[in-house]
Amino acid sequence: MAVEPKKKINQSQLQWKTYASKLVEALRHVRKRNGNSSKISPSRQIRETADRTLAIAAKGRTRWSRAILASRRSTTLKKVKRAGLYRLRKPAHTKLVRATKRSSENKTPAIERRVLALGRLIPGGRKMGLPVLLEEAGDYISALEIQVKAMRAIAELIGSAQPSDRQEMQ
Amino acid sequence: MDSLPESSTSIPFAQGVSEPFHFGEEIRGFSSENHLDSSSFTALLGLQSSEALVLLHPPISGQNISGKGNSGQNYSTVLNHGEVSTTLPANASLVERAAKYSVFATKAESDIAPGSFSIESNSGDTSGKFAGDSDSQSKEGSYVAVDDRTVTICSREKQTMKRKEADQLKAFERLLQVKAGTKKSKGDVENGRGAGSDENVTRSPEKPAYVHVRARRGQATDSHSLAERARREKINARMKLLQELVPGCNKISGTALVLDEIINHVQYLQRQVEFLSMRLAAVHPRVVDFNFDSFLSSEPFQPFSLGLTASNGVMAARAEEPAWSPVQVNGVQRPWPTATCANQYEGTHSFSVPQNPPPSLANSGTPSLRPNQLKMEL
Repeated sequence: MAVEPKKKINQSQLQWKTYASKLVEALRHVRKRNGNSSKISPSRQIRETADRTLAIAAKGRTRWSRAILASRRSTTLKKVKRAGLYRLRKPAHTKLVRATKRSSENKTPAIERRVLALGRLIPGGRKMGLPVLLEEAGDYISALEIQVKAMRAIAELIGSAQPSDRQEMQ
Repeated sequence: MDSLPESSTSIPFAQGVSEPFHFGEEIRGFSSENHLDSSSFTALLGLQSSEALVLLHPPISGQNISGKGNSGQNYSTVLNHGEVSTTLPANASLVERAAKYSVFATKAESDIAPGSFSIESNSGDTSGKFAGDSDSQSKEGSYVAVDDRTVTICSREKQTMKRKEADQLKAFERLLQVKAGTKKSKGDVENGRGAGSDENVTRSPEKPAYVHVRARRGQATDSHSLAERARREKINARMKLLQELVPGCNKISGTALVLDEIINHVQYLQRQVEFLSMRLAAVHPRVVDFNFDSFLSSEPFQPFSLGLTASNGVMAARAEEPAWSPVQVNGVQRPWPTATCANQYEGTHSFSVPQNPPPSLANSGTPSLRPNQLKMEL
């Protein structure tokens, strides 16, 4: 039927459009607040705003969104420090820790490495166990897709406004 | 045009963004409020009594509870399309007990607004009939599995759930119970499976939170291996979901490669966000006025270029720093104040999603004239 696919399309459209509107609102707000000083580069600022808005849109149901909102105050410095820790920490150590669990080691080291890498990618993913991590990954991926769609739409909108402005100015 | 796949199934985030008025969302809202006291989900259910009544359909095999008294009531919320919320219990589940007694008594208070339902969980029971019922039940839509500290309510949307997702959900819930249990005794869990079992089925005592797992034929029944196997099953179920989500993962076999693909996909998406934020940052300071009415309105899908106003902020920026005027979200229109420009643009700042078509169309009509007007006036 024509009704159902339309409904589905509208639903998914509604998702990212809702997010887009929230994002624009947040961006304006941040712009307004940014009058005094900004230690962070503007692109990073926008990125963080977008991520936070995404997390807010998730309404805190998922762990990654809570992790994003919890780490709101963290500056880039903290992230650099954390990244350094990752490199320093021996992978063997974490393997050992996991292996001593009661269920013993059921993941090969190759898989374990990838699992850790995935945990690093997903905000707050270090502390999650594997099944939770996989679930969060699914949710996070769909959230990222919504984010990309909305941001691309906004960028195109703004981008298409530019040429006409320049024409006016001349 | 979009290279990314549309995935509108079974994602909690998606649900949250798009449908704020769904019942599930209200549950989430309550769950976030009652975060600490998980047993107060009963309060949630008390509040949602009428809706819960609607959701919980009448019993199939009438096992009504009585006198269960203060048995622990815990529910885990199940999202609309069969994905389980992240508040999974760490401790034992009482699903088995629920299956046996179909009890719906609260922990804290004895009176429940919805009254007593008979709860069919698909955790399996010792009776095959029950298993059969639970099998069909998952498609019909609502049951409550009693679990420690979490609420399981399958909403009626589950009726529209595909069989595959229903199976996944069942598998997941099965594993949920198994994961939660500390001690295991042999019981009947694998109802839907064809694998025979030659284990005895014993009942678990009521008080401790035992989980019943049926060992498959020829497999070890050691508690460790059982737990491991249950965990593996859960992980594999989730991996399958992820494989559907990430494009191109269906053909790949092997956990490591699939994980590679997933990681690549996440990195790719994050990089895209990074690029887009750079793009927005480059463009952002100069464009002040947006008219998002037409493209954000949900009813018809319109191309993006509609309704885009040429910004007078650009004009203002030449003279002074762009001043961002506060935006009113809900449909208030007012002329955009400009100090320097002679022309007054009428910008509509409302971009709430449900929008009346006439104003948006009117707005989209007039601003497109403005640039031409301005051009001529200049």
